[in-house]
Amino acid sequence: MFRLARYSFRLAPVGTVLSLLSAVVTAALTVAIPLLLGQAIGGLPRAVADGPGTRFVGVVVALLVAMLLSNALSQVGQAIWEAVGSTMEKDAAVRIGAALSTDPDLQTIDDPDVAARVEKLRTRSWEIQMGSRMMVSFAPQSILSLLGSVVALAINFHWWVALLMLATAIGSAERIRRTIVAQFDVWVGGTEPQKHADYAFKQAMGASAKEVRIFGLSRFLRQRYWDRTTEAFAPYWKVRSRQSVTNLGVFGGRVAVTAAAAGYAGWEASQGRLGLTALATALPLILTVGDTDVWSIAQMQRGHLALTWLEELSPPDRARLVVREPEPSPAAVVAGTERRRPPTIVFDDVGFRYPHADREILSGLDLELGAGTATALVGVNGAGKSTLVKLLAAGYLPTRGRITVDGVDLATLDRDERIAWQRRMAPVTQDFIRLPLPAGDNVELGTGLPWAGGIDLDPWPDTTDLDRLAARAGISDLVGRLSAGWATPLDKTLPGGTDLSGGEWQRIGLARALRAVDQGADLLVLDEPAAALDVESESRLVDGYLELARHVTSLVISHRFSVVRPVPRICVLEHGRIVEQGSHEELMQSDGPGRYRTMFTLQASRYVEAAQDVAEVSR
Amino acid sequence: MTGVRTLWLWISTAFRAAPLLTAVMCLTTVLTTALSPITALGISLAVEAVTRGTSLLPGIGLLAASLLVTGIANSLAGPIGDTVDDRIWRYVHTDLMRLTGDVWSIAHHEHPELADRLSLIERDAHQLGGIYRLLSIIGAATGIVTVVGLLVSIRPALAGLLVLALVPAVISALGIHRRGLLWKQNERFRRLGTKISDVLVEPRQGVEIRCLGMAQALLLVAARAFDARSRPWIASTRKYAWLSAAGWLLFAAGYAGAVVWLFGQARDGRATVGNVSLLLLIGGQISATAQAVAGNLGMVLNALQTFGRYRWLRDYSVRHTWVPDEASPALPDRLTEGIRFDHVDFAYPSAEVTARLGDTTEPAELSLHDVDLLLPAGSTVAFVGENGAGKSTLVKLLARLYDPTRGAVRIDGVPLAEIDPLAWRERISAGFQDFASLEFLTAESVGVGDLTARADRDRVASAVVSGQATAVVDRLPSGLDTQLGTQFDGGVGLSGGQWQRLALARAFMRTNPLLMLLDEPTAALDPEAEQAVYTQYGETARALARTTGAVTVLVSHRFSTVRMADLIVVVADGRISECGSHAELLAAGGRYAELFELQARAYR
Repeated sequence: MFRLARYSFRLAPVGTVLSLLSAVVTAALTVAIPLLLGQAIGGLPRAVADGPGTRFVGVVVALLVAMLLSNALSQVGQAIWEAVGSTMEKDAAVRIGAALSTDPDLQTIDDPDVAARVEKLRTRSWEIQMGSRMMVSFAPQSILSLLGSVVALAINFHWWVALLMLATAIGSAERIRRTIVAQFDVWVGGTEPQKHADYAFKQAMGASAKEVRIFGLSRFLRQRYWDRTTEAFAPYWKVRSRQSVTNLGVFGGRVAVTAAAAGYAGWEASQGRLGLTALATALPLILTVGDTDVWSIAQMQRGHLALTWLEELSPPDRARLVVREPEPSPAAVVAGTERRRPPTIVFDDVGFRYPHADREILSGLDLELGAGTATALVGVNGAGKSTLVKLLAAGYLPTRGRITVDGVDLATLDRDERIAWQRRMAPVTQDFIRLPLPAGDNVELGTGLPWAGGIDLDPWPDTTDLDRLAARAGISDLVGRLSAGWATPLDKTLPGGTDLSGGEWQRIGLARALRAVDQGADLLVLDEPAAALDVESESRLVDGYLELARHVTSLVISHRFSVVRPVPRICVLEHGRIVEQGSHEELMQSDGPGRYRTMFTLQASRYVEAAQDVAEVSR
Repeated sequence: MTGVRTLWLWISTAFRAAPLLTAVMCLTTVLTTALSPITALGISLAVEAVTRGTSLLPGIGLLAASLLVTGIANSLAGPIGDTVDDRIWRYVHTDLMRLTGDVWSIAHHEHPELADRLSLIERDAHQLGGIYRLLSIIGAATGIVTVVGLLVSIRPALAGLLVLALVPAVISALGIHRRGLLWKQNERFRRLGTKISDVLVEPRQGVEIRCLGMAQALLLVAARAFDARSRPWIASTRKYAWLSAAGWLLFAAGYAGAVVWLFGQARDGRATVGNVSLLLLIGGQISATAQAVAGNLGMVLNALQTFGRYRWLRDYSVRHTWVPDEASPALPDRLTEGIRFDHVDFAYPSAEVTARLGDTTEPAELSLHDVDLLLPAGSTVAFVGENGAGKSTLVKLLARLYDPTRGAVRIDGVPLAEIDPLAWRERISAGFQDFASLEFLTAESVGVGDLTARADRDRVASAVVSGQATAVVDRLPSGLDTQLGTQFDGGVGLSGGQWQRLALARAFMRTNPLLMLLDEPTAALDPEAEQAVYTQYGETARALARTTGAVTVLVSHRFSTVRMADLIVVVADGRISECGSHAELLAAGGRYAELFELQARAYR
């Protein structure tokens, strides 16, 4: 449980200490005020009769100061906490992001179990905040004031009354804790029906805006939400209505003890066995003890659990390194110095299966990407093209065979070397990144460094380099159309933001890769680069790509022959291996099975037919 | 006035969601809060009884009675309150789904200001519960009455102490309100931070993130975004905390003055010892009552903000929900003329708002300019053009996801804006490139394409065939009964291409649409699969065209597909630049011929 305190201290040491201090002082005041009150009231008759002595004045002044402090602290303690708590939301979000993005290996990020845990942590990270607040503020305050009041009561009244009241307080606290713990799952939406309900809710609230309307799913989703939520809650509702009856016993008992203690004090006073001071002290103390709830333990348990997940995902010793100014990467440094030779990459009898999978995606794959040459890869959906890219990026290591870069086996690289290798590669993948940041950042981040790195900035950084790049990448028109040019956030939900179409995003992604190449990346990988592009951009891309490919080693993956055809060496990937390779002309003439020829002819025939249509019309 | 309406919404929501339990909670809340000051009176009576040597029974009895009632109320309040919260949660969420989903347009999903409001309503949905908490105000008011009564019973002038205590209370309530507003203003930063951390954990983008080495930069951007939101919040919290602490100092001075003054009167024999001890005892109650008022005031102000947004959404929804009207024209069973774009201009609502919010008075940027076009009944029409030319916008107008800014889309002459959108959508179907992956049971994920037939396994199975999704379904462990989505127990994850095939199958669920919209639904498929989809679909389309005069609209970059269309419309910069059959357009030698030539060249 103290992990929460440690966590809070690590994030905000001053705030945590102040918060604890304020809790201790508040607890002390909770005990001191009834004591001082008793003394003041007890001394009152004499003070009125004989005039106030120094002691009486001292007590009253202390009482007034204590009251003031207690009022003021309730405000200031809150402010202190807000500052601590607000860093926690940030910390959780950033650490989750870091845990899945800073390791060169892709195994963690691809693991569905990790994804499930991240999702759970996302929805429950507020529990860490809540639990920490209990830990450094509410819990010490309530426990200390309970114990302090009990001790004061034992001294000023009867020890056995104090112990009895303490026992009932602990009993009811434990009762509340159990109730809360029993409802963990349903409270945080962690049950299976709730997951389905939440999913339906998200779809109706905008995730599937078009489907909801085209197919009229609004009512369907609502019914689904209602049914699943009811399914999740109903058992707890039943339990709770039973609980309210048993609670009546438990809390009723506690109140009865408190009332009895007060009554006993009154009776003793009426018998003359308890003086005025003692009675005036005992009654407020009895009320304080009877009123203090130590219910925060359960909240701490929940927060502790969520924090455990966070620390498992992102261990605390690594967390400190997370947020720092990005530094120019190895590849960027190299660009500034002498341009080295682009890499030669050899896949040597590579076999690969994903962890926990029973099927090999690649088997016996031999492929050479020569230094400074271009290679194209074709294959039907699911042939293993994207897996090949992941292996090339050393995101996974082959389960069989080896991949070498200029003779060095990728499997022998350590973590930093793997990161450095990854920085030499500039990929454009099918699922290109769409950052909700200004257009300038979306392109400039190809260097690993931001352009503006935020929204709502004024002034914006210089755009000369970006403009020059845009001209080369052929996106000047696209940027020119944006309302605020490079500064336009590419997300409709941000002020002044806009959304791009799939094809426009792809052109941004290509410009980003080009930026990376400028910075020294010397292996260009274009994975289905033209899938969402229109004809003209596609054609521009092919030409531009060949221009680019002159300096770097490159691999282009596509099922569009217009993209692949001009590439000097084309490899056909099928069943996890390369079945054919050669130039377009060679592959068209080969006598073998001719997978390439078959696919090409099939597509080409449609254009031939189409072209003939014209011939007929013009005749 | 709006405050009253908002308040009414608050009350009616709670009572609609859980009438009986809310009533119980109201009772317990009033009892607990009102009785709290009574305990101080009880102690004071007991103390006075001891000093005077009279019976202790009234004081102790009052104390015990109020404790008992409070205890009973509290023990019920816990579990019942939780259940009330759950029920209101369920009710409000369902209502939010209705309000958002029943709006026929999707404009509100793409609008920054609306998106802010929606996400705040979602986040604060739990606050929408607990009307009974409002009643703690009644309790606090009762508390004030009790405290004032006690003070006046000593000396009427002492009632001023409570006024003094309310100063810091009001300050902190204002602080709560102010922070609520700040939260709203800076909501976009939280969205930015969250979205960036979403990008970092998305497996499909793992390679790009690593190779471009952008993780560190993005983490910094996300951290800064969170800071940008919390910094003003913390500053405001601090400011109001100090202000209200100063307010308490003021109260303390006044209170000390009152004690000294009353003590002086007691010394002169004009006040009793009991008077002074009551004043001392009640000090804590005065500040507790004032703090309760502050807490309640802050809570009400916050809830009014939340409910204000909720009410705003309800008003918005009412304004934008189609009300069936006797006069609204019925939809024809079959198309005779076709669908006409009648001098249509269109600007996206977000563009409009940006123009309005900015200082500029320029009109919003038009995405479509004066589009005048007939899609003849029974034809297949292809839209081609560069990215961003306006093809998808045309498709969205046809589905009536938006209304034109000027002009009209006419269905056999009747403006689409006058037709019940629900009725219209029952007669259309659509497949999009960016269609959502619905993580239901596979049969449901496809079947929702036609809700009336979603339980009909034969219909679902044949839609799966039409969408070229047979291979996908065959590979699933329990076929059509497989749960999709890895977040669910036993759920299966699919690749982008596999999802697209299921989305296509969904689009083919409806068997008699008047309009079929296919906006690059096959972009992720290889050309062979795309060809198979369209070849198969072509037969259905021809049959439909004969029986209902149905129109098929397709958007594709592949000219091999586009060529099949009866009418090809070339869109450029939001205008129609060419229009005709494939052969005509090629012969015309315009833009289309140029684009076609570019693509065909690769195959010679």
